[in-house]
Amino acid sequence: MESIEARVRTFVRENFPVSSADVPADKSLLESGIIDSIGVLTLVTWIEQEFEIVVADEDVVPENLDSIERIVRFIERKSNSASEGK
Amino acid sequence: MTGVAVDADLSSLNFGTQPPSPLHPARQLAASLGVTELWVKRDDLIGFAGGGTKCRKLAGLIERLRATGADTFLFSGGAMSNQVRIIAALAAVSGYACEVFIDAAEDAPAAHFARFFGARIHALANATHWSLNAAIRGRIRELAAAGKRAVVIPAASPEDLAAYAQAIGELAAQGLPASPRRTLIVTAAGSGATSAGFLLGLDRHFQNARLLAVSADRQSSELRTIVTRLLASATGADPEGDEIVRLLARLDVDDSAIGGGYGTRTVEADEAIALAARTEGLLMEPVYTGKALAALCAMSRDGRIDRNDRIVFWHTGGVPYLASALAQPLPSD
Repeated sequence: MESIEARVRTFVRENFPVSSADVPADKSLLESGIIDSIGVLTLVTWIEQEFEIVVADEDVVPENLDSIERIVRFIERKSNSASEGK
Repeated sequence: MTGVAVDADLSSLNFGTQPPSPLHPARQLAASLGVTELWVKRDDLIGFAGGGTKCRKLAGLIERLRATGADTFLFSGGAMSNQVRIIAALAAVSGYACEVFIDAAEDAPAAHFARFFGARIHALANATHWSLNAAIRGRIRELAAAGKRAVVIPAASPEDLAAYAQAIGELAAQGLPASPRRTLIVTAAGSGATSAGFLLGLDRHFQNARLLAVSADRQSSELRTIVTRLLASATGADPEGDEIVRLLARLDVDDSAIGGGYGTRTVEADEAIALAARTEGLLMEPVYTGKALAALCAMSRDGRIDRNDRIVFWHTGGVPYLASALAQPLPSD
């Protein structure tokens, strides 16, 4: 199965195409114009469906979602806490 | 007071004066700027709810929105957003509920207009994109719990770009006198959608022309990235492939007129607005068109543009917002 990072990169590339090259993992997606404001909604909805996790409103912050590496860490953290709760 | 039914016949909707918008020569403004030839594309005279370029997309937008089966439009925008004003009016006349998330205070001009058209305002002063999105998500859940079906309208879609591209075809068909000179189209840029659509239109309809997009709030690199994304999304082309490179090669972005940021007034924009009024009787506002004209003034003075270019200044609308700006005197008063 593809890594989380590869799946995130594919999603960003397909939905917010700005470069055929890889976006640097630590680059701000919003400030650089890669994702627009409503694009955050698209991203969050995709994360919830793709990884079957619940994203709370308070999770919608740049610390969690504003770069490839932050999104990956956030998904890993949420997935781990979801599986621990089972 | 009653609204209209959502299932009203679309053909009964009236979006005001339809394109083509007039193309007017602006000889006295040209003389003031020291440029050879200047035209003004008067999108401020088309559409409804105060008019403007954004009205070009309304007929297609309402068809797509109706197909979603939604009953409530959600939309976000800035303090003097033309889209906020026009989409609130679109919702009103087509029988939809509308809620606007505005990253400004309750008394922002766009909030006043949207409220006037019957929209519910969520004023989130000092909101970030993140908190704005969180608020929209929360509201979607609340509406769903109440049995409503909301649709979030994006600031730009491929269909929007097609409507703006057609505007360039319209310009090309308006009989500009034959000229060997290059044409420079100057427009204000916010979401980047108009600029991206115009680039598509130049590629299809207008040779020997460039686009100067004057940013209302974003740095040039960010606006260029957004335009790239919109073009790649609309065409399905590789964002770094030949097609997008060819489209972007005709774009210049200027971010020198932003001043203190989105919605802030600048002396230069105020002076440009006064100049347009006093030379041509044109009304502009200080957030988009005023700053675009201010950039054109500065660039014609310091030689950053070729004064022999044929210049078409695209008046994108927003005139209703001038009234709130006039509450504070222009610098030359």
